[in-house]
Amino acid sequence: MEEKSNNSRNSTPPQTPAWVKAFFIVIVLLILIVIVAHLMGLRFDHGGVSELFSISMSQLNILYIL
Amino acid sequence: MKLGPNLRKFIRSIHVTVTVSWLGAVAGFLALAIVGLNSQDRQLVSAMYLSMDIITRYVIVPLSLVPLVLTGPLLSLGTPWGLFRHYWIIVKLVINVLSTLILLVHLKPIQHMADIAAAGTISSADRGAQIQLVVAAGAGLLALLAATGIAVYKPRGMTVYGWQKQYGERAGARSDVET
Repeated sequence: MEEKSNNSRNSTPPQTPAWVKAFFIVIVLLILIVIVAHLMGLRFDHGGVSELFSISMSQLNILYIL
Repeated sequence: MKLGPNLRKFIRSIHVTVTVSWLGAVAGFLALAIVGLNSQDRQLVSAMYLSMDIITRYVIVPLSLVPLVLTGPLLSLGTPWGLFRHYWIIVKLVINVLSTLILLVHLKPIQHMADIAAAGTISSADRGAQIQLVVAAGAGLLALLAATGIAVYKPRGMTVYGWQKQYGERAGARSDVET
């Protein structure tokens, strides 16, 4: 009987915990705040997302580190 | 791939050391950024931004990459914890990836501030950049504190994938015992 109840409990996939949902809501809100802030003109002209993809290995100094 | 107990302890030691050092380095960066923002002493402000550039390139960036590409994946994939079996590990991974991305985004602004600090031409026009570095460092520090807390408390919550793996392993072990 006990084994049967264990099996029936195990056969139910787990639900996403509330703290995980809260975490992802916070992340989405933060991303939205950053996007709105950038759209409002609160951005830095010397770098940032627009230049993220132009970062080269030498700029990261990885060669020096390794 | 499963790690032996000694190797697992060794990698965990490196992982804990590096991640906590990363947190400490960001705290130091934040202190320098706050002094750079508030001080009236031009020489001191220049020294702050030059120091921040060096700390970022030679301390913070390496410390952020080691747990992300080396010790983290090794520990999760080489132990029964797995990388996608428990929500707390996924959340830590997300925090780590976002923190590293935000750090890389700020490399250019930090370098720019160091350049104008070296030239002694920091002006009120750079106030926005100075504030941005304080905000980014503060946010990074909070994110790393959260990641450390999650790693210590390991909140409950298994993903469907983790549940399927565990259920499959148990069923396999039970059938082995029965046969």
